[in-house]
Amino acid sequence: MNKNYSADVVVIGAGVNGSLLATRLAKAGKSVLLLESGPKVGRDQLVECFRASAFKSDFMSPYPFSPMAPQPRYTPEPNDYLHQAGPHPFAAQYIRIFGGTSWHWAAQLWRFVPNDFRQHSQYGVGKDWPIGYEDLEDYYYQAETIAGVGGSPDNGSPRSKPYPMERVPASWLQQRVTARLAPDFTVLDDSTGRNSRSFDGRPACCGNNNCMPVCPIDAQYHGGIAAQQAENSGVKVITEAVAYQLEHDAQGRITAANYYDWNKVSHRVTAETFVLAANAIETPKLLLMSTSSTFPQGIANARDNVGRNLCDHPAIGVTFDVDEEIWPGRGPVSPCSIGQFRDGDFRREHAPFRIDISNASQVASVTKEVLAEGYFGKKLQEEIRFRAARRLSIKNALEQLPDPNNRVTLSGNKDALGLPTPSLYWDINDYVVKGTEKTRECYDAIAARLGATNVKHSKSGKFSNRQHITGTLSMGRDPATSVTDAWGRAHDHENLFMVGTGVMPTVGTCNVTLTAMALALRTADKILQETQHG
Amino acid sequence: MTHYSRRRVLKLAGLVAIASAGGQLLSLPPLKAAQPQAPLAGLDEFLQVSRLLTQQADLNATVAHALMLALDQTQKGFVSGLAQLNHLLQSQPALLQQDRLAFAEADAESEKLAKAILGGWYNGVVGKGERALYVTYVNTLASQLVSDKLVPPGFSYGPVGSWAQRP
Repeated sequence: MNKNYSADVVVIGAGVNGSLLATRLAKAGKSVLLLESGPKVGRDQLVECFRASAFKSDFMSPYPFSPMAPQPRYTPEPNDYLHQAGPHPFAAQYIRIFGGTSWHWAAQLWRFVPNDFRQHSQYGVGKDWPIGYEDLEDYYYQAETIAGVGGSPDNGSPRSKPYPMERVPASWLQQRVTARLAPDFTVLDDSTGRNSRSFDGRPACCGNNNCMPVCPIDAQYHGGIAAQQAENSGVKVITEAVAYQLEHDAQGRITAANYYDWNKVSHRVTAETFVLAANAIETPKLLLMSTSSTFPQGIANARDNVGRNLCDHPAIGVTFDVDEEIWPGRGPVSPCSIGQFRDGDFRREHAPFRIDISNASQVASVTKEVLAEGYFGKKLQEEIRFRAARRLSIKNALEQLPDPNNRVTLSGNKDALGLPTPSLYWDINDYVVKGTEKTRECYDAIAARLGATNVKHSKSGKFSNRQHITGTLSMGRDPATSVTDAWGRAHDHENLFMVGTGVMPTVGTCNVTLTAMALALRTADKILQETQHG
Repeated sequence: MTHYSRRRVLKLAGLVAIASAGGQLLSLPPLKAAQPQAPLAGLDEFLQVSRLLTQQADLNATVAHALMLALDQTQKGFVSGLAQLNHLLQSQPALLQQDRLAFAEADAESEKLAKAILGGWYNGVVGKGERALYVTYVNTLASQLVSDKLVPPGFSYGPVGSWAQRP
C-alpha cells in the first residue's frame, strides 16, 4: 500500500549530516521526515557480525549487504557496484544503513586550516570556497560539542574556545614515536570524537582497538548515534526507503520525492523544503536520475556540474619494523599524526599532506605475512611476536585538486530495484604525484629515525582511497562551475538543499566529516531563518 | 600467557563456531564443532599433525574439532591429504628441523595443506574467497601468543589511559 507523507522538511539520507540537520530542524518545531535507503541495525548485531567475519580487515564486512540498497563490497570478491571508468580505481566504501558510513571510522573530527578555504587566491591553485574559516568557526565548535571532540590545540586550525573533550591519553607507541621523531617531525594528538570520560550517555574509551570497523561500546561518536538522536527528537524515520526521483514545479521548486520500499512499492512524499544527504556518490546519482522535460540532464544539473570534481585523498602507505618494541594495538587505532606539511607556500608547487600514524593491532597482518613466508613451529611464534611488537603502519592524507573530469555518472548497470548504479572516473595529476614524492621522502626519513628494517612502501603509482569523498555537489558563487551556493542550496531550485561532504569544493588534508557536520548545522540554520515566518 | 579476569573469561567463553564468508553462522552439523564431546574420526591424527607443525603440545581440542570440520569443507581431499602429510612428517623428520616449510616439489600439495592447517590455528579462518570459513577469533594461536601484551581487537584493554604504560 502506498504511503504518501507530507512534512515541512524531507531529508534523504540518515547519515551523520542529514541526521544532525534533521535534529536541529525538529527541535526548532519543524515536522521532519527522514528517509534512509538501508535498514536499522543495532550495534550489538554489528559487533557480532564483526567477530564472526572471515574478513576482519575489511571494514565493510560487518555491515549487512542488501541488493535493494546496494553498497560497494570488496570481499570475498568485489561486487562491482561501482563501475570504474577511469585510469585509477576509486574504491569507495560507504554504508547504506541507518547512521551511514561513519559507523566505521576512527572518529577523526578535524577542522580545515584557514588557507584551505582560499586556496586559489592564496596559492594560485584549486578553488576558493564561497565562505571562509571565520564563517564556519562557530559551527565547527557546535559540531565538536555535539560529538565530544578532543585533540591537540595547536594544529593549525585556530580556536575561539577550547576543545569540549579532554584528550585521550597517548599510547606507549605514540609516546615513543613522538619522542624519537622530534624535532624534525612534530607528532600531535589527532582531533577525535572519542570519549576520554563518560559523555552524552556513552562510556569512556577502554581501548578495544576496534574503532574501525565498529566501536563495540560507542565510546566514539558516529552517525548511528546522530540518527538515533534525530528520531528521539521527533523526526519521523522511514528506513528501507530508496529515493529514486525528485519532482518539481514550473518554477523549479521541488514538490515531491518518490521512493521505493524494499518490495518495490513506490511512495510519494511532499514537503516545503527538501534536503539531500545521501553521500557524495548517491546524492549525485539521485539528481542524475531525476530527469524531466525541463531538466533533461537531471535536477540541479542544468550546467552539467553534478557529480564532477570528485575528490578523495589519494593515499600511499609504508610499513616497517621499528628497532624497539612499541606494541601497536593498545588504545585507539588512529591516535596521532604529523601536520607540518598541511599548509605553506609549497602548495603552489605540490600537494600538501598530513601523515597518519596507525596504532591498530598488527597481529593479524603480520601473522598472515609470516605464514605466507613459510614459517612454522617456534620460529613462527618468534617472528609473529617480533613483528607484532615493532610493526608501524603509516599513510597520508594528501590533497587532490578539484578536476571536473573526475566525476560520478550513471552506469549502464541496474540494481535489484532497476535503478542505475554509479560509474566513477578518477585520475591523478602531477600536483598529486609531486606531493606523493615529498610524502615518500618523509616516510624514508621517519623510518630512518626509528631504526626501521623491513621497510615496505605501497606500490609506486598506485593510490588507495581514504573514503573522504568530496566535490561532487560543490558549493560556489558561480553557477557555471558549482552545484550549490554558499548555503548548500541548489542554484536552480530554491527549496532544495544538500549536505554532506559532496558540497565541499576541496578536500584539504584532513578527514572531512567535521567540516560537513559544521556545514550541515549552518544549512539547518539557514532553512530555519528562511522558513520560520512561513 | 595472561591470566584473564573473570569478566574477560566470561566474554571469551564459547567463541568457537563456524561462519561462512557472509558472516552467517552455519547450521547444525558445523555448529556441532563447538561441542568437544562429539567424537570425530581422524581427530587424533589432525592433532598429531597440528602439534608437529605448531610445535605446541597443548592445543585446544574444541578448536581442533571445529578446524577439522572446516578444513574438510574447504580443502579438496582433506582426509587423504592429512594422512599423506602425516606420513611425510613422520618419515622425513628433517622437514621439521628447518625454519620454514620447504617440501619437495612432488609434495607441494602436502605443503599447501600444512599452511592451511597453520593458517586455521593462527588466523581462525580456513579457505579463501567465497569459501572462507571463520572458526574462532579469541582462541587463535596468534591471539594467545601476544596475550601478555594485547587483547584481541574488539575486547576491552582496560580503563582509559591504561595503554599509556610501557607494555
